[in-house]
Amino acid sequence: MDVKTLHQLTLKKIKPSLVFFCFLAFLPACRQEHGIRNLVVHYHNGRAETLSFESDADPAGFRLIRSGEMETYLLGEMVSSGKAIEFIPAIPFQPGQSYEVHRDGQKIGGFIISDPTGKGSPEVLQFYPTTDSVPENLLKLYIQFSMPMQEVGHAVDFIQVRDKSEGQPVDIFLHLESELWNKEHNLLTLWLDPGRIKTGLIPNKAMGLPIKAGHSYSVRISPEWKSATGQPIGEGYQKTYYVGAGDRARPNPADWKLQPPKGNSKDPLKLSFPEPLDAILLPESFHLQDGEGRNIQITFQLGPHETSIELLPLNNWKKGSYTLLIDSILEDLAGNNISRLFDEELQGGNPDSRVSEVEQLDFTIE
Amino acid sequence: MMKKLLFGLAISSLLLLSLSATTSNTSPLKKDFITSDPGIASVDQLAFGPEGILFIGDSETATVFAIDTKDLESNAAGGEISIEGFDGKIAASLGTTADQIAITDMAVNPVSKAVYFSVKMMDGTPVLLKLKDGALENVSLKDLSYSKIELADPVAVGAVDHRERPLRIWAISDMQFHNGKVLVSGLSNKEFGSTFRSIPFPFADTQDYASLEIWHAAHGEYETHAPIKTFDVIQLDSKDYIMASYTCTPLVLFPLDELKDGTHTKGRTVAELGAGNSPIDMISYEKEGKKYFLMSNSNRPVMRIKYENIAGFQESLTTPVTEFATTEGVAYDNLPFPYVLQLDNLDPENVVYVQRTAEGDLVLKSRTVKWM
Repeated sequence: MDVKTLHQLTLKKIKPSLVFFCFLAFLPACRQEHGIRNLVVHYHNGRAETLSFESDADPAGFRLIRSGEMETYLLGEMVSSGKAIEFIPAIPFQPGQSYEVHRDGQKIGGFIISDPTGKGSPEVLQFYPTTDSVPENLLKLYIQFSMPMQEVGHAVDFIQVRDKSEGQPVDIFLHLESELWNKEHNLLTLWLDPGRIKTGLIPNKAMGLPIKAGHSYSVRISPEWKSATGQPIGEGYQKTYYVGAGDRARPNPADWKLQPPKGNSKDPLKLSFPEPLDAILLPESFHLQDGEGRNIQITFQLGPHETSIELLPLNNWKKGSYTLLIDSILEDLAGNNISRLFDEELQGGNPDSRVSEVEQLDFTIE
Repeated sequence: MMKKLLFGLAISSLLLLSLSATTSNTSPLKKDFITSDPGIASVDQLAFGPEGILFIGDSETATVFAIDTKDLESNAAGGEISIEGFDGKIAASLGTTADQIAITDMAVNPVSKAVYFSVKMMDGTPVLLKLKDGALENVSLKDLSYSKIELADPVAVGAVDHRERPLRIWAISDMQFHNGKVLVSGLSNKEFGSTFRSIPFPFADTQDYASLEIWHAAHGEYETHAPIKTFDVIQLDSKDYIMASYTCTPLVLFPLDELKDGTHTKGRTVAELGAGNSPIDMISYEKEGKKYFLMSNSNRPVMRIKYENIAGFQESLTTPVTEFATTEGVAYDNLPFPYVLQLDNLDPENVVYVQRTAEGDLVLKSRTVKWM
C-alpha cells in the first residue's frame, strides 16, 4: 500500500468519527425517545453521499436541514431497515456546510462536512500565450489551473483586465452562458470578442478591437475565485501583455525550421516557428509517418513561448524518410490557421463539415 | 341515452388514459428508450417535447438526452406562482447556500404545466428540479428512461487515418423541439464557428445535420462565426422561421424549410436591438387574437415585438449601426421587466419568469399575458 492510499484510508476513517463527536455535542438537547445513535456520514470518491443513523422512532418523521436555514428541508430519500435509517440527499452533502437532523421541528443531531480533497487552494499554473507580446487581433487566452475550478458563476467576473496605458479596466472577452472549460474543468478558454476582431461586424464598428496596439494590459485573477470544492485561490495572479501590430498572415509551414534528430537516438525532432502558435492546438496538430506511411507514436513538448515544439519518439528513431502531417486547424495567436485568415469570409460551408486539410513536411533521419 | 353514451365515452377515455400511462414505453416516440444511468455530466439547456419528454442539452459530453419525465397528468393551467428568494430556496433544498448554485435553465412541461429547473453545483454536479404546487422535487438524473444522441464531429474527409481527435468542447447555447426535430445551436472552442443542428426525433442511427449561416447586417455577407445566443420558431404567413439573436442583438430570420442536410440557409436581419447586450430567452404568445414575440436580455428589459410587424418588415438591414447602442429595424416595445434571467410560457394565458429585482432578490413569478 502506498502512502497516498494509506492517507486516503485514514481520511475516510477519521471523518465519520469527527462527525460522531459533533453529534454528541448536540445530543443532550434532544428527547431520548426520538434520539438517534451512530450518526455516520459515508464518503464515496471524496463526496459525502449518504448519512446513516439508528433510531427506534418512525423514519418518516426525520428531516435534514442546512444549519441556519429556517424552513426548507433537504431533498432526498429516507430509507430504513429495522432501526437502521439512511438518508440519501439529492446531491452529496457540500464541503464546508453543517447540517442538522430534525424531528417534530426540533434539532436532534448535527454534523459538519469538511473539504474532502485535502488539496488546499487552487493555483494558476499558466496563462497562454506565455509570451508577453501579442498582436492587436489576439483571439484567445487560456488559463491553466492546478485543480478543477468552481462551475457556478461566470469566469469573467473573476478576471480583471486593465489597460495599463490608460489606467482603465476594460471588457475584452466574449461573454458566454456556457463557458469553454475542458472536461476536467481546469483549463479555461477565453475568446477576445471575435465580433470586435472581425472587421466590418457591428461590434467591431461600434467598439473597435478589444485591445489596442501600443498599449499594455494586465490580466489579474481574483483571489476569490474558488476550486470546485470551494477553496479560494487566495493569491492574486497576474500577467501583463504588450500589444503590437495585428497579425494578418497565415502560419506557413514553408517558413518553419525542422531539425531532424540523429538516427538510433531518442533525440527530439524540433520544429521552430517564426511566431508563437496556439498552445492548446499545437500538440493536437501533428502526426508523423515513416516512409511506408506507418504512424509513429510520439509525445510532445512545447518550447519557450510556444515558438517551437519537440516531438519525442517512444523508441529510438530509425534511419530513413519521414513525413510530418500538419493539420490545417493549427492557429497563430490571431486565430489565423494554415488554410485561412480568421478575418476572412468563408464562401459558404458549415464550419463543422469543412474538409480538414493536411499540409506535410518531408525529411530524412540519417 | 345521451348520458349513458357520455358515461361510456368517459370510461373508455379513462381506460385509454390508464393504458397510455402503463405502457408509455410503447409510444412510438419512446420506443428506443432504455432505463439506466444515462451519464449526464451537465444540464445546460432544457426543452420539452410531447408526452412529457424532456430534452437535456449536455455541453460537457456534447450530447442531447431525451428523458421520459413520466409527468403526464394533464393540466390546463399552471396556477399562480410567486416565490421570493428563489435561489435561496433551491440552495437550501440541496443543502447549500445561494452563492454555491447556478440556475442554468427553466422549462415548462406543456402537459402538466410543472416548471423544471436545471441547477449546477459548485463542482459541476447537475441537478434537475421540478416545481409542482409550490414545492420543489428532485428528478433523478441517474435512473431514467431515455435515449440520446451525441453531437459528434462528422468525420473529416481527408483526415489522416483513424486519428484520435481530442474531444472538442461544445457549448450548447439554445435548444428547442419543433415539429419532430430537436433544434440545437452551439459553439465549439477550437474552430470558432456557429453551428445549428436540426436532429430528427426519435434519434436515428445516422445523424442528419443541417446548418445555418448568419447574415450580419453590417457585413453584407454570410457570417459563420457569430454564435447564436437564443432562438425561437415563429410562424409567419403559415411558414415556420427560426428567429435567432446574437450578442449585440441582431434579430435574424431563417426559413425553417430550407434547413436541409448539408445545405446552408440565408438569414435576413430584421432588427438591430442594440450593442452592449446579449439576448437570453425568447418566447411567443397570443393575446386577443394577435401574436407577439418576447425576448429577455442581459442588459436591456424584456422586448415585445408584434408578429405582424415582423411579417410586414420586408427589408434586410445591411447598413452598419454607426452610433453605439442605437437600434434599427422592426419596431419593439420595452416592457417594465429588466433582468429577466429565465422566461417561458406557463400555459396559453400566462408566462413564468425568473427575475433579479432592483433589491437584488431572485424571484420566480407567473404573469398573465394580458399584462405582457
